[in-house]
Amino acid sequence: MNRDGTGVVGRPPGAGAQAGQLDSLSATVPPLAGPGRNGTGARVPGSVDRVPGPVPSVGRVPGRMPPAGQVVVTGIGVCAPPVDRPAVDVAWFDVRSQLGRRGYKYLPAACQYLLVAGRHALDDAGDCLDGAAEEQRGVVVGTNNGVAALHDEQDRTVIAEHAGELSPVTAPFGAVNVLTSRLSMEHGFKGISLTLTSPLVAGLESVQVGARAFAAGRSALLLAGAMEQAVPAPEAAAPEEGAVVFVLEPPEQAAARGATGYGRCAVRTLLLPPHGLGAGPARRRSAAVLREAALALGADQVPVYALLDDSPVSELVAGAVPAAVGPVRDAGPPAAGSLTPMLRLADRLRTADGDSLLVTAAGTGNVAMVRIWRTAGSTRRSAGC
Amino acid sequence: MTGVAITGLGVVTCHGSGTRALWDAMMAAPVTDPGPVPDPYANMDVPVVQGVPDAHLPAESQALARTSRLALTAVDEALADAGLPPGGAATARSRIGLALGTCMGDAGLHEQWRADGGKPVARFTSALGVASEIADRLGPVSVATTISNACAAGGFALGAAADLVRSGEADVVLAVGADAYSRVMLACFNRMGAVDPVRCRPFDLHRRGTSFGEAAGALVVESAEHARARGATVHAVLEGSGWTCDAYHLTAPEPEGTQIIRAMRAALDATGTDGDRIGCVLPHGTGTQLNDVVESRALNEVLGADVPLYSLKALIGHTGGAAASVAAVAAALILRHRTVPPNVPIAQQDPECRVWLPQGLTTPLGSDRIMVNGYAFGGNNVSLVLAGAGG
Repeated sequence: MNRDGTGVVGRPPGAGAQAGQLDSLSATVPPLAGPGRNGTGARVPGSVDRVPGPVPSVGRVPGRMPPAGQVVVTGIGVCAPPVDRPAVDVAWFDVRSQLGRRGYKYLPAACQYLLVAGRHALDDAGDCLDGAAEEQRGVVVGTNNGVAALHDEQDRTVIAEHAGELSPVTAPFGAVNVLTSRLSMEHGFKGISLTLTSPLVAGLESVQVGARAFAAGRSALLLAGAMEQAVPAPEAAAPEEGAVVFVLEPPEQAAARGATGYGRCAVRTLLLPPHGLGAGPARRRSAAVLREAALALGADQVPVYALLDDSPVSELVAGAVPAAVGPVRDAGPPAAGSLTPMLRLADRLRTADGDSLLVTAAGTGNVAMVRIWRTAGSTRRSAGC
Repeated sequence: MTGVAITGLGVVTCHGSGTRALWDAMMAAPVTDPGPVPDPYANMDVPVVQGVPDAHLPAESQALARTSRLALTAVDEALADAGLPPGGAATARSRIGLALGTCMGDAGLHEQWRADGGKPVARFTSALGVASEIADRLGPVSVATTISNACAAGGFALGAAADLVRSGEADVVLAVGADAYSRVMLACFNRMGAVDPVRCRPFDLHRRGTSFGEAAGALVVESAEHARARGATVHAVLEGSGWTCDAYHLTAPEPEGTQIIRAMRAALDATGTDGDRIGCVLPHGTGTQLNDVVESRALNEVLGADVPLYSLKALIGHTGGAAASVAAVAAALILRHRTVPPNVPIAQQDPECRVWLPQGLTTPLGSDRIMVNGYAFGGNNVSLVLAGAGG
């Protein structure tokens, strides 16, 4: 077609390298002369850079973007079953009373929980929207099993019957990001909308990604959270049900509107080779990376709380994270998804002795650490459903 | 040079494994029909996909689930291309990051359980553990993220990878997009009437939806300083990425394209240049009715109608979370050769899509910058601008 889309364009004179003329056209950057670069790498503002990183680094790219640092949590919304109710018992949640009579009934349950938690979080944060245009408001949500039950149901229908028997109202939710986007739609947030799915840590990762989005200038206000629905095989994994949403703001922006929030957070995520943690170099390097990350977040300054499973990854984490302020405190076992670590983070932010480091790890190799600096004297209690 | 250096490329599509296979296919521009899925339980009207033949995948990865297998095929090539072999000294000295984009991950694992009539034997595992397989290859990863923004996931992953380098959180980041055939996803698209029974025909007047393919794309990104320090070859530079959300509809794009225009402009703004400097666009272009029209209008608004488009999905199908990653690899190859390959022929261009789709012959790359677009259900939009290694 030509440029008007109405015909075929002939080959312009001199056009076109042939397929054989390949690799010689790349540019080679000559090596730097002189000594190597400074090796400090990224550092969380406010922390003490006590131990150099285990490997040399050229550090931050000059003038491009500050490192992802701390965020202020100015609102918390929780939608989760009471602790004494099993997650698979869905009687705790009534969509009509929580969200309204129209437009929500056929959403996947995880999406319903997310919308409720999002409302609570925004209500809790007060006038947070005033300082951020709708293009600067974003959503980042972690999930592992937000549509696992739906996929299970859909797949069994296809296997036993036909795709034509699928519900047309749930077919769009084959892609899990549509649940997150529904939260963007609910509040007209036109900045970033990201769905993260790293096993176990996706919720905490949403806080880290949020901090990075602030640093990159991609957002000025974020809803960050986790949503889960009970997995279709509860006998094979501890099910989770519910959602947590935080309102995140850059510290300077929160301060400008006089909001102190619950506290500040900084998150690191790591990924260890889950099948390579024998007694070799990978284990030593993994331990070094873990220790460096933990110390950079102040593991030797505050109590350490841990959600660890029975995997070799968790065993390594438990041994590598220094805990100078008393023994590592058990924050309970993780479950099948990304919700439990976020619920624990919400707990820490609302607890008087909340200053701490929360660590979680899973057999998949995923590790997350979140440092919490709780706002002194805060007595806020967030809303729940 | 500004931006983030791309020093390693890897790819696998229905046309084979490796950047050479992709480039050869791009230059040949064959009309490739999707084939029936090897799945007796795919009870749906259009059970077809442009799959990756097993012959194109390493035999030693046979035990892996399919998306992981595709991802590692591309990862291995990209690492070798970058001079960062797993376990090598250069790899061990660097703080490695990983940004993975996938829509369905290894959903095939769960689908196999169900086809076998049951549930997981022991422990339920998420289908989204592809990154773990990559970590087993890489060793400890200093920072990792998995983004599942459906059909734009790979584009967001590449933008996120650049952010990790720009912020100094990692020295080298592997940006990967991967997706394999998923019975659930193909069934959902069938149910929505969004699968073209012929093939993927973006911008064709007679298009009837999209048609899926399997693929993975991998790019190694690092700062120019880090690349220079280790003597790496720079293939291209990622100069900018723009991320927006329509916040409009679960599946349909906002008809005015306001937010996809904003994503394009944000990516351009990061380059410090204007649209006149874009020499080619790899559009999202899925073959769905409204998406192609809205994207065409948005391109007209931002870049005019004189920029050649290279419509990759017509060649390899819609590869889901891999799509924008593979498109970025293809963009780097176009920059390398300074040539826009001929598009796979379409029968009749939709007059509502007033874009330039060169067919039949190659077109010289007029300017050393290429835009890559990726859009997803939920109105998640990403635009990327890649430049030649000269900057």
